[in-house]
This record gives sequence, C-alpha cells and structure tokens, in this order.
Amino acid sequence: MPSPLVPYITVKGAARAIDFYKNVFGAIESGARYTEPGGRIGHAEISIDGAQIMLSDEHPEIDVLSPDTLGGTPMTLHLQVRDAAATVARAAAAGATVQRAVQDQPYGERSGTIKDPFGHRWMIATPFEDVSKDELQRRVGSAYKIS
Amino acid sequence: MTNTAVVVSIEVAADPDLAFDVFTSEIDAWWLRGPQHRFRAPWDGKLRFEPGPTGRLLEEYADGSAFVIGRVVHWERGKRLVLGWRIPNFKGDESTEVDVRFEAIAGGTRVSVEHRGWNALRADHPARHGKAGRDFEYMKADLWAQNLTSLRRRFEHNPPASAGSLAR
Repeated sequence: MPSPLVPYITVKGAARAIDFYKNVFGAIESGARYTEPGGRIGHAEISIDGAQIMLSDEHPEIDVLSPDTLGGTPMTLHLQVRDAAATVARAAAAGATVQRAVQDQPYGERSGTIKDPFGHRWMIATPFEDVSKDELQRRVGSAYKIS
Repeated sequence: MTNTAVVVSIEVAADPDLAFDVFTSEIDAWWLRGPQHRFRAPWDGKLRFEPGPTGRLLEEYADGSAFVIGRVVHWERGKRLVLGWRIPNFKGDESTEVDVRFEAIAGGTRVSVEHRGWNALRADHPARHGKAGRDFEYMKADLWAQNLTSLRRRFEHNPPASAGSLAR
C-alpha cells in the first residue's frame, strides 16, 4: 500500500532534478508529468525504490518556492539505500555538496548528509546493526538521555 | 516547437514502435471508462482507431452507430500521431487537435500529449465546465494524466515481450 505521506518538493529546474534523482538514486519517473507552455513543470512524480516523491518547478504566484530562492531548507529527506558511501559518492560526482561524510552512527546506521544541486538536503543511510536502547545509552554516554 | 497547452507525458516500458501500436490498436483496453472519459451515454461504446494516415478515431456502439472523435492528420509509427478531437457537445466546425509524440528514452518511451485548440472555443462553451485559463488547462491535463497512467500500467502488469524494462 502506498504511504499516506508523500514529500512534494519544489526545485528550480525540475526536469534536470528528475534526471539527477534517476542517475544518483535510481529513481524512476512513476507518474504523469505536466509541462506548461514555456517549459515549466507543474507536476511530476518519481519513485525511489518504491518511495514516492512529487515535485514541481517554482510557482512564485502561489508561493511555491525552491530552497534556492528561500536561501535554505528546513527539511531533510532521509533515504535508506544499500550502500550509503557509494550513493553519496555518486551524488557528489553529479554536483551535490557533501555536508557530512558517511560514517557509522551509534544508532546502527552508516549515513552521511548531502545537499543536492537544487538545494534539498538528504540523509543517505544504510542500517548495519540493531542497537538496543541500553546499548545506545552506553554508547552516547552523557551526551543524550535516550528515552 | 512552442507548446500552447499543458503537455502531459509519461514513461512506458516499451520501445517507441510498441508504445505507438498499443496506444492506437489497444486504445479501448487502456482508455478509462465512464462518463468522464467516454463520449456518449450509456458509456458502453468501444474506441477504435482506423489505422494509417487517412484513419479516424471512433467510438462505436452496439447498435452499429459511431461517433467520430477525429480524423488522423499525421500517422508516423513510433514517432508521432496527430488527430482532430471533437466531443459530442461541439457544434459545426468546432474542433481541437491532439498531438502525441513517442520519444525513445533509457528503458522505454516517453509518450507526450499536447491537446491544443481549446482557446478557439467560446468562453461559455459547455466543454469548459465553467473553467478558463490555467484551471481549464489543468482540468484537461488531469484527464490525460489518468489515461496515460492507465497506458503505463498496461506495460507494468502485462509487459509485452519486446518491452524494455523501466522497473528496477
């Protein structure tokens, strides 16, 4: 069953963004693409390993703006992949900025953070270990209280 | 080419020739049913292309009658299909035009539909359903999107032998 929650992201250059997500994340374009006269994409849908994302170009007249225009994003898209290091390397080669290199996290995930060429932030993660609450508390010590 | 309408496109897991063949010869199977999508009550007609550059798209009924949706203007297998497009509430020489393009992409074909000519219809034409401008364009685009999604599913669920693979 499809998830009831679907991220709908705004980008400057939706056609190029779809190509980036295909090349870097193995996305497929899973739905209909609406292209207005003049080339602006009003709606498109991709699927990354079964996870749906909708996207469009900017529509300033209805306040639909991209991270480029807004000067940042408050949201991170967390994507689980088979090999986080390989995916982050592919993203960097395709123009993404690596904000945090891939490393093993105490909660059992190998992950890193990128900002894609369209300003969206992704945490790219590969789980490698189940960590119990007690073990996690032991690992993080007094830095966090795990509850 | 500058488009004059919202273009709706979709990727299908078939090469352009096969996508063209299924688009045309199997249109009754993938075109959605019901009053929103079919042409005449009681919505049980069958859609059929008379193939080729002098062909037509018809909706045919059990009593032997037919509604002509449009005449083919351009028939180029695997590349492009252009035809006139009328709905039953059109009068006289009112018509629109549908331009379908088939473009090879990695793993299949992008099928793009531009349905243009609505601007020539008067502002209170019943086909507009009271909508104008971009609202109207998106209403028409939604209907095409639903039908093209059905076309795409035809290749997902019942992949023809010569189809490429978009699926991972």
